[in-house]
Formats: sequence, structure tokens, C-alpha cells
Amino acid sequence: MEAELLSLESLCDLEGAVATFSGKARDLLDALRAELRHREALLNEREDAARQEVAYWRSAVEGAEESEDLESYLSELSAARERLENVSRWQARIGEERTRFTVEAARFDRLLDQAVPACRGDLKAKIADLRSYGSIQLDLRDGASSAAAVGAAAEGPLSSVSPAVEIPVGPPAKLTDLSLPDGFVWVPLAQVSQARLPSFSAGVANKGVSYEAMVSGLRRFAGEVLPRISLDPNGLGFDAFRALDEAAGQDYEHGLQRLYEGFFGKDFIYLVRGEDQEKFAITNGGHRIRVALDLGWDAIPARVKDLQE
Amino acid sequence: MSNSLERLAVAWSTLADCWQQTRSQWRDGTALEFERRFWQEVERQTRELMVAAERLDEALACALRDCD
Repeated sequence: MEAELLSLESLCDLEGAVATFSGKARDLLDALRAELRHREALLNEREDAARQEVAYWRSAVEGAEESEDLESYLSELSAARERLENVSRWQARIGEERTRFTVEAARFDRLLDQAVPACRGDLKAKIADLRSYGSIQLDLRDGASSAAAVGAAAEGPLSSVSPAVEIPVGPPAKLTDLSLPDGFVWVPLAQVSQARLPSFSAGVANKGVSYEAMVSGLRRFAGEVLPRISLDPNGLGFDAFRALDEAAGQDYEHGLQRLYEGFFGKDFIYLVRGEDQEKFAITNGGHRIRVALDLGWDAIPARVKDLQE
Repeated sequence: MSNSLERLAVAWSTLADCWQQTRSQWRDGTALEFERRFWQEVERQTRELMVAAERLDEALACALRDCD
């Protein structure tokens, strides 16, 4: 999360740069179209002039059947026809290039009309998210973490915690400072083999859960589940998180209980390191590890079997 | 190269530099998603527009010279 906070200013710069580019690009594309049209018009004028020249010399040839100038007129007509053919060849080539440009310019127009505003919307959302997170960190440093602050940080709809379940929480300064239930340890991701990390295809990650949902889930796990567990690692179980979900009107699918069970229930991450292996092999939890790496985590909570110990 | 095309290239270069600067600091999943969903498309489309514009621009310049 530290890395994200550092990027807040540059994210704001990027959002501004996208807006600036969008405005400039639209004007410049219009100007470019006008410039190209103007030059095409010049070429059209040359073509018209060449046609007129051909017509002129053809007429001269027709009117000079017996004239001593006929040979000279025929020569001029031939030269005029060559010039016209040359312009026509260029016109054909330019027609192809113009078609390609017209297609790409229309696509670019759509990009500016649709994709760029969506892009700016995503950036603004991210900036707001980081600002919210930054304010929570300040609260924590002042010793004033609160359920409301957690609600501000939550990406999901869980925005408050029932007063009946008083568990002060907040995002940690460092994940590995948080205590884990017995049997689980923080395993540095640098010690986990990435040789067989799963990839995400077509946005679908694992068991029908999208990559985006996993990113959101891991962030909520770090901000809302782990800090609570750290206060009482072996005393809080799935039932405590179910109570939180119920108090917040949250269903299992989108709640904290599911996140808790994803790491500390039956589907925990399991890593194994053989006697002669430098790194842990992933037995279960590859997708979560993939996302944790993307999020910049240094370590992951897991059960391990380490034959080097 | 046409004046507008040059200016478009400069505007794009400025944005691309800004993205590189941001990308070096922004390393979470949202950055990857942003890169996949938007940036790569913006980059590809801008590049293809500029290539198409350059080709038309060059063809017109050659044609006008050759047909002068």
C-alpha cells in the first residue's frame, strides 16, 4: 500500500495529462483532417488542369489534320496524357491511404468519445481511493483508528461495523507486523517459486471469480480481516466475521467471512519446500499469490511444510 | 510532416512520458487492469492513427511534388 500512496501525485498528473491529451488530440485531429483535405484539393486541381490540357491538345490535333503543326500537337497531347495518367496513379494511391486514414481517424474519435472518459473515470476513482486510504493511515498514526475509518477504506459495500461487535481495526502499516492464527505464517513471496503461477485468461481467475474481484477481495482482506485477527489471532474465527457481515447487512458472497475462510478456512494457501529446494512450491492458492504479487505484497499468510527445518 | 501531425506526436509523447512515470510508481492490480483495459488500446489506436496520417501526408507531399 505504501507504493500506492507514493503514486497519488503522479496519478493526479496522469489524469490531468489524459485530459489535456484528449482535448488537444481532438483539435489536432480536426486540423489534420483540414490540412489533408486542403492538399487533396490541390492535387484535384492538378488533375483538373491535366484533363483540360489533354482536352485542349486533343482538340488542337482534331483541328489540325492537314497542318504542319500536327506532329507537334500530337507530341503535346501525348505529354499531357502522361501527366494525367501520372496524377491518376497518385490519386489511386492516395485513395487507398485516405481510406485507411479515415477508418483510423473514426476509431480515434470513438476512443476520445468513449474510452478516454472511462479511463479518466477509473483514474479519478483510484485517486479518491488512495486519498481515502491516506486519511486512514493518518488516523492510525494518531491512534484514532475507528470503524468509520475502516468503512471509508472499504472497497466493498460494507461501510460500517455493528457497535455490538467492538473490534477496533484499520489497515496495517506493514502486513507482516500482523499476527496470524496458530499454524499460519507469513511467507515472503520472494521465497515462493513462481514457476507455476497461474495466469488469468479472459478476466476469469479461479472458480468463476474474476481477477478484479480477487484484487478487491485481497485488499479488503488486508484492510479489514487481518487487522482484526491480529488483535486476537486464535480467538476470532469465522463466526466473528459472520456476525460482522450480518451487522452490516452483507451476504456471504460479498462479506468478510468468505475472505476469512479463503485464507484461514479449508482453502488455505499451502506451500511446500523440499530438502533440496530453494523456494516453496505452491500446493494450493496460486491465484491468490498471483494477485498478491500484483498488489505489491511482500508476503502471504499460508500454512507451510518446510522440510529444511 | 504536417504541422498538426507533428503537434499530435508531441502531445502523445508527453502523455506517454507521464504514463511511464506513473507506471513506475503504480504497481498494484489496478495498474495492470488500467494498462490492459485502457492504456494499451489508447497506445495502439494513437499509433495506428499517426501511421495512417503519416502515410497519407507523405503520399500527398510526393504527389504534389511529382505532379507540379
